[in-house]
Amino acid sequence: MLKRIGTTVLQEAIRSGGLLLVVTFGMFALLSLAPGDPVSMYVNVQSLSPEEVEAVRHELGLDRSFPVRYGAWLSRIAQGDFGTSLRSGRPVAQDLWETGWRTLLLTGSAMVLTLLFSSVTAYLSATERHPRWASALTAAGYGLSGVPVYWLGYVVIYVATTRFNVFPVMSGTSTSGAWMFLVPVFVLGLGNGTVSEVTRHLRGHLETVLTEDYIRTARAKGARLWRHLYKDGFVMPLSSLVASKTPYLLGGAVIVEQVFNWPGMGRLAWQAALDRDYPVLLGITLVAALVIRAGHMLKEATQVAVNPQLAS
Amino acid sequence: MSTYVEVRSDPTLWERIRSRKKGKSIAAAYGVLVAAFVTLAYLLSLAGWLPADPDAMDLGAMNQLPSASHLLGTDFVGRDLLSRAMVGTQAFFLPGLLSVGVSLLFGTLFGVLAGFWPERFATPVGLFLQLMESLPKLVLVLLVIALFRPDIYLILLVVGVTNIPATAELLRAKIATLKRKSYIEAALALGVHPARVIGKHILWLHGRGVLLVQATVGMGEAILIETSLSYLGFGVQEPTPSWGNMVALGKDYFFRGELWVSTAPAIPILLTVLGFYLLGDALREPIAERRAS
Repeated sequence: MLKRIGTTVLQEAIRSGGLLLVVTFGMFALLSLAPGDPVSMYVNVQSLSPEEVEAVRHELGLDRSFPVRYGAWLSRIAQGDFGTSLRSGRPVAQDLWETGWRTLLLTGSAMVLTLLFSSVTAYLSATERHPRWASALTAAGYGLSGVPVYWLGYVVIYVATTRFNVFPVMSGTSTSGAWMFLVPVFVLGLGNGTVSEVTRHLRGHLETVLTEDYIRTARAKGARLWRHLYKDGFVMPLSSLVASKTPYLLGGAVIVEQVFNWPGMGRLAWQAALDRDYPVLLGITLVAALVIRAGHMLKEATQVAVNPQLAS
Repeated sequence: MSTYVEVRSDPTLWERIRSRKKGKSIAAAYGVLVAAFVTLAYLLSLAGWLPADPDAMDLGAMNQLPSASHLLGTDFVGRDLLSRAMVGTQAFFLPGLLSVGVSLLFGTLFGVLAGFWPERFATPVGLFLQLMESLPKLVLVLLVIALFRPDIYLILLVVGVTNIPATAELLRAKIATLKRKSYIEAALALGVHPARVIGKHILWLHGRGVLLVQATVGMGEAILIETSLSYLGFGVQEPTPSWGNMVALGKDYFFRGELWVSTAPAIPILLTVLGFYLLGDALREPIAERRAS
């Protein structure tokens, strides 16, 4: 069992490694396609003679071939050196480290909320036990996935400030209290636009599982349905959904963090795009890809643990 | 008198399908209606048939609620919100169609290649799919924005490119099951040209549903991304109206209690995106009720 999981994780790690290599290559190709001479970022080209510019170019390694430059850049990335921010001059890795955990906290909690809402809705509509609740929640899910997440943020902030006299706009810093943190989580978790999609997927999966013979047998002998249902009906689809919806939550975090002034990676991405601070954005993209691949690895491991037949 | 015992049984398969169908047709009708309304608003705004000049300021009538003279009210400099919302469709209409067109065209191409000749093409298409799934679209778009400062057409073109592998994969899976069907085999054995089998038997008779769903959902997503980027200040720039930048402009007034200026453009976003999602879900084929064992 453990060996099977280990093998799967290893396979997934190798695949992710390969994919991340392709991602970095694509990023580097994009970088080289971008307009503007990189030399002009380091020195004032106009004040130097052509020979001096050439010397700087050589110094920076810009006169070498594309694969050589890519190799050098990749080896620096691999050592955790993402360069320095064009705006603040600080190492990008440091910025990522300081903001990353806040975004991870936000998106992780929001993901739990999304899955919780969708699971309840899907379970109620698949089992047809409480049809009214099921329809109401399904309708709410559809409504929520169409609501622009920033407007939902405004409404929540407005209600919080006027009705409850609190000011949820600020900081993932600890001084602001626990439920300040819950407000952006609530907005991102329900307003990220994937709730209806996740519910639909889960409900379809549950309906299929509920027609299985072993479920009928379990019902016939009066066993607890849940015990027979949770593995195939919930653990399997939920683990795939975590993996496939992480990109959407990370994207949604860009907007939600901007609305709530949440000092995380999404807000950093927004600021960097405003300033055309591409080393920062490059670092964020790579970290996001890393997180998403980790999600896929978790999914593979979970699914093999539940159903060892899936191990190849 | 005899007593009746009400016998309740689980709904049969047929009852389930029927009950689902009514909701589905309502959802589809709503989606079509939304698409028609958006198209109408786009065409009217192109023709210039607007209730008011979208750029005409009226400082005597700022932040007004809906009234007879301004059906959707006015913004913070007194511009008519209905006219601006109608012109706002121009921000995503053609770019969105471009995005959908690109993802469908190349998605079909790669899907057919990978489905019909899996030994040669399935691996690269699968790799490309996993690659695209490893990047958050919004972050990728922000990176492209930082590097190239593109306009909204190019941005949504990038979004369309990121959707190619998903379309290709759906079509590939569809073709992989179709290829095992005897009538496809028979047609090929009888000497029907593969291009005709692909074009008629596969794409037209079986693939159009998949493609239609992808187109609908893709349009909804394009609108969502355009409005989000315009909200963040990267897409369509003020004074050109977009539903996204209209919401952003009302922000300060919203927190002061003038809720309507931000809400008026948020409503068409909600209704439109919802319409495209509902239509896509309604068009999706019902999944197999019972797993093939």
